[in-house]
Amino acid sequence: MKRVLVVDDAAFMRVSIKNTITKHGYEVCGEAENGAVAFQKYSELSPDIVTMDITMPEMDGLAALKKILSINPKANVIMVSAMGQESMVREAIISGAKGFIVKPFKEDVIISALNNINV
Amino acid sequence: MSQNDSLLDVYVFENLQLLEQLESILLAAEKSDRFNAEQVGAVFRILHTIKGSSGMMNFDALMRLSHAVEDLFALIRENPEREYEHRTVFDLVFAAQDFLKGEIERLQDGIAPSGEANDLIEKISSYHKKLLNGSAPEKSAAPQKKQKAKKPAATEEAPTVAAPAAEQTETAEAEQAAGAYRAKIFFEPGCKMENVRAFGVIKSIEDICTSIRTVPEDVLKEQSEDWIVESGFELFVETAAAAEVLKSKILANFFIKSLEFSALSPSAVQQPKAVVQHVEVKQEEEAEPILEAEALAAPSVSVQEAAPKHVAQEAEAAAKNAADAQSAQQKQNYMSVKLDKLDKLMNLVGEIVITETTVTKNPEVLKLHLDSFEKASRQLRKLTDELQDTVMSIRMIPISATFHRLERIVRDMCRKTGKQAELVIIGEDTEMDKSVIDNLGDPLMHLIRNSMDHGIETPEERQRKGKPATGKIVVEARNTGGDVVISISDDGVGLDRDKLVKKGIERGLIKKPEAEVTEKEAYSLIFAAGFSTNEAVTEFSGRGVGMDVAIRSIEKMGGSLSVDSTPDKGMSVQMRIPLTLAIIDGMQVSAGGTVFIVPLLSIQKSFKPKNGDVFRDPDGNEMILVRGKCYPVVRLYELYHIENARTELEDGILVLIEADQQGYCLFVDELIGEQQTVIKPMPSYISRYRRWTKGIAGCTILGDGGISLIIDINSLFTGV
Repeated sequence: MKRVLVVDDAAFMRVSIKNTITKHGYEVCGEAENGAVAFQKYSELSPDIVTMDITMPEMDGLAALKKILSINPKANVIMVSAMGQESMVREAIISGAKGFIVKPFKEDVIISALNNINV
Repeated sequence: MSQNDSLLDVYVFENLQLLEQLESILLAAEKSDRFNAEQVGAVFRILHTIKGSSGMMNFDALMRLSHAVEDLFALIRENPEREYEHRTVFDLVFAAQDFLKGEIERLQDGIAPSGEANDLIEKISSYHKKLLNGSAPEKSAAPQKKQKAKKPAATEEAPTVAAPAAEQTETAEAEQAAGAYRAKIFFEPGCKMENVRAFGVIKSIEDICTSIRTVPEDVLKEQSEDWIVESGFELFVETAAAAEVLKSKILANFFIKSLEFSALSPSAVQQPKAVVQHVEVKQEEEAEPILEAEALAAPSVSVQEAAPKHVAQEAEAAAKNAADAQSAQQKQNYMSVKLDKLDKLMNLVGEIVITETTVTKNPEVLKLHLDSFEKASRQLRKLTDELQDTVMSIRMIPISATFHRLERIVRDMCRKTGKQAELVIIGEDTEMDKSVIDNLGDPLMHLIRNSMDHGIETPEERQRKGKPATGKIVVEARNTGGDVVISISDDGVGLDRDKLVKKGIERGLIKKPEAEVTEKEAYSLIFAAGFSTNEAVTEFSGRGVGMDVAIRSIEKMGGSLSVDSTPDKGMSVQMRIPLTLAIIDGMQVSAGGTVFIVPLLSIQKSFKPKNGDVFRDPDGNEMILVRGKCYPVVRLYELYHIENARTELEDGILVLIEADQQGYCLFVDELIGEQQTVIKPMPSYISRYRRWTKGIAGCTILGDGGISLIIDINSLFTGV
């Protein structure tokens, strides 16, 4: 079972993503509410996939993405963005994010994104 | 949080918390009359989060409104030097906050959100537009720069840059037999930001391609998005890699619905334009971080070597991140628990406390005089005490959030009535049981409204009276043993005794002659249902509802209220509320076989009187002198018409009780002993008759299964 680290400052989004992806055969091995915790949990848990919110307090998703990629350039990080964050998404892609989904998204969107990643 | 919690619960819980945060940020910012950078960032993030969650839940109005505010704050954040009308922004955000809160509270009550926020959204976005178009030297400079950065790449500089690139292409071609391909991609409908996805596709194949040409040319232009959705995204590439590799690289991108892939003759790609295009992409990458740092100022974008100031910023950000990582770790030591679970735990502990007494005080067992049993029960007692303390402390929260919510009411009323007032908060760290605090919000709100509406005068009037133009309302909480006293005082006009009495007699609430009405009686009229001396009904008060609601909810919690007032100096209301609703230490007393419980903390002493100690005052009330002070004697059996009680003072015992307004000596048959009691409310079929339950705070179950009444010392006897 692929292990996923869910990063979002909104507990609602974390629960929502968790509920969705566990139904489709993914295991949520950890959750983080900001970039700093995300990085720490990534190093502890080494998950197969990370879903990474962009706007978060303390350390945002872009910074966390870069930190994660600095210890594992092959890390599978999917950015979870919102409309209006085009330039940040672009930066994430340049930095090496595997892809991105845009909030609000339907169930099949995030599943399709996860399925797209070959671990 | 467990997975069973419904998403809606989480949504409501989290967003109400965020809105509360938002409100305190707004109030703090308004005090200093402007947002600082940190506050702008925080407001932006909060609205961003609400937008995201609302979108996921399909609450369209909520999403659009929070999006509008988010956009506005994004603009403010990106242009810190820009001047804007703070008041307007405050009003807009407060309005948005109110709407969001109202809707989410509806959701909490299980009602679908209904409101349309179109007007407000319109207002916010039109102000956003105004701000965007209005004197914008900063902003207009940025896009220009962006264009400039791009144009040279495409036109003037292109030939020089393109030349080496073209050479490279040629050499690459010479070394490896290059293939040329055409790919046309359609993205999944609804996956959004198609232009950025196209950019992602280019990025993913860039390193294996020697040239790339795309249709539309500039994918990141906004118009490209529609083009790509409708007509697809077309790529003409040259690569040394195998077709399969290229294809799989493209397909590794998300949400590709279809891919048309075909081989071309190299010349089809080999146009100068293609090379320029490729360079342009490169060029943009290099230029981008600088632009982005300015345009977006994301908290910790780490590609900012461009300017020295950014380096400093980065160092700062790094230091902050380190500190934050630590605080984040600390934060994880907390978890949120559903209140019902705590309530259940509290109830269970209450039951255990009772059962403990039932077991250890069991008369059958006590007869046996078992040493080991006594030892064990003492240990059990110690542990249940500790358990109870711990559970109670879990439920204790500081009252600060409730107090700070009052700031908003004062602010709103100042703006709408043209009065000036400040709220002074004292003792906000005072902790009380969560359920007590939840029930305090409304009474406090009514009292503050009353002070603002009836108490505080207009600035002109205040100055005429020689008071400072800005009125002062003080809310204070302090601990006094088993109770918390909360007082609300203002420096306004105070209560008009004569006016109150006149109105009271008019309404038939007072039946005795005007001259005999005491101040206390007159003042307590403000808590009578439907009572208002206001001639005009305002938006806030004057309808006479509110104060009676306030007193009823305080009484429900076993608390009491008292009013004090000095004409033109202001009035103050004191609320005395038990620290926790559930468990008290009580003294069991009996009168004629009926067992009552008196809260232990209010008992000063108990003593056997001699017959000669008691004398009568001129009105014929029994009085007794204790420690040089005169106290009335209250015979419990008389109050509740209990038969077979001891009537001779020497046979019974007097308990000196310290109450709010006046201490008194309660005459009972005997003291039975201390008992921890779990307060249960009186069943509604009894509590309907307030005449009967006067002086009774509730009931409790005794160790032997019997029921005993708990005396409310403050309302049992209210003076002679």
